[in-house]
Amino acid sequence: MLDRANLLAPEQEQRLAERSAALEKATGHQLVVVTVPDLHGQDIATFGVDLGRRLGVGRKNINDGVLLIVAPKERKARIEVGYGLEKALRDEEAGRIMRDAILPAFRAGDMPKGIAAGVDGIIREIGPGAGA
Amino acid sequence: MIKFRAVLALAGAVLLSACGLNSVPTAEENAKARWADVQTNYQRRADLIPNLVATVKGAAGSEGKILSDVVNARARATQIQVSGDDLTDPAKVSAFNQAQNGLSLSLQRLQEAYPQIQSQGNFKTLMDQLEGTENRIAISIRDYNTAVQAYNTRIRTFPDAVGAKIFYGSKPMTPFQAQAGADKAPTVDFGNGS
Repeated sequence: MLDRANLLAPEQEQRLAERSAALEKATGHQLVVVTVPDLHGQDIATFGVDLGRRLGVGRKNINDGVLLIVAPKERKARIEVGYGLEKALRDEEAGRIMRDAILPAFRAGDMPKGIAAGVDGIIREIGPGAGA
Repeated sequence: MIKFRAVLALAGAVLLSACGLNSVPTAEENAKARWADVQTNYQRRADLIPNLVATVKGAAGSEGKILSDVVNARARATQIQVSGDDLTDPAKVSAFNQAQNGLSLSLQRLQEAYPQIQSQGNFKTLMDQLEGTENRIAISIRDYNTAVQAYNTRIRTFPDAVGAKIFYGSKPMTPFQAQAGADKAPTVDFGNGS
């Protein structure tokens, strides 16, 4: 978890970190939540790809990483999916998670809830026992 | 005697490798591989379009000019293929670029003509897929241009320029200019509406 924008309380962050660790333990996939205080004019998609590569999210050559990026200042969020998970977490599934789970909570002002809902949705798609 | 020859052989190998004998082809292959990714991603976009056209036709009830423009633009775009060896030919790369931009424009007009597309269930899936594909295209173009820049610099810079010229007759590869203002798909925003 990289909560640079300080959207999560410590115990919320801890809980999410545990879920992420459990996911990695069960499947090898890496899920990282990143909150950014300021994108400095950068496109969130570009930011996401660069950050994912720099951090090395996802196993090398398998590319099974997912980033959930939240930029509260610019009011943008994005789910960045590594190539290795594109079949498990498809564009339209990520879009649905964003629209149905994350954004409604964000619009209501509840960032932690939105983030947790996003993590839920993502793990449902890529976690152990997930269908395609 | 043997020792001296061994040293000479080693020195020769070092000199050869220093002049770009290995690094130039490697940089070239890397750029070609990145180009293959660009083409793959553009093809993915082309593959989405028949479904998109059928869905809009179903909702709109008829095939207007805007839809047939999309169909034609897609046909034109899929006709032009640029092989790895063509990358040193700016005219070929430009032709490919223009065909793809033509398709981008027709898709943009389609979205503008049917704004209600954004909110209807089935279309949301298609728009998600389209946006995802455009995103991948943009990333692969960036990676390609980075690889081309690395290659072009290598063949111009001493000492690799030596090998590039003597052994390979290397020509610079053409960077790819994404359409200006290429990101037309709406980015997901917290704000009201979608």
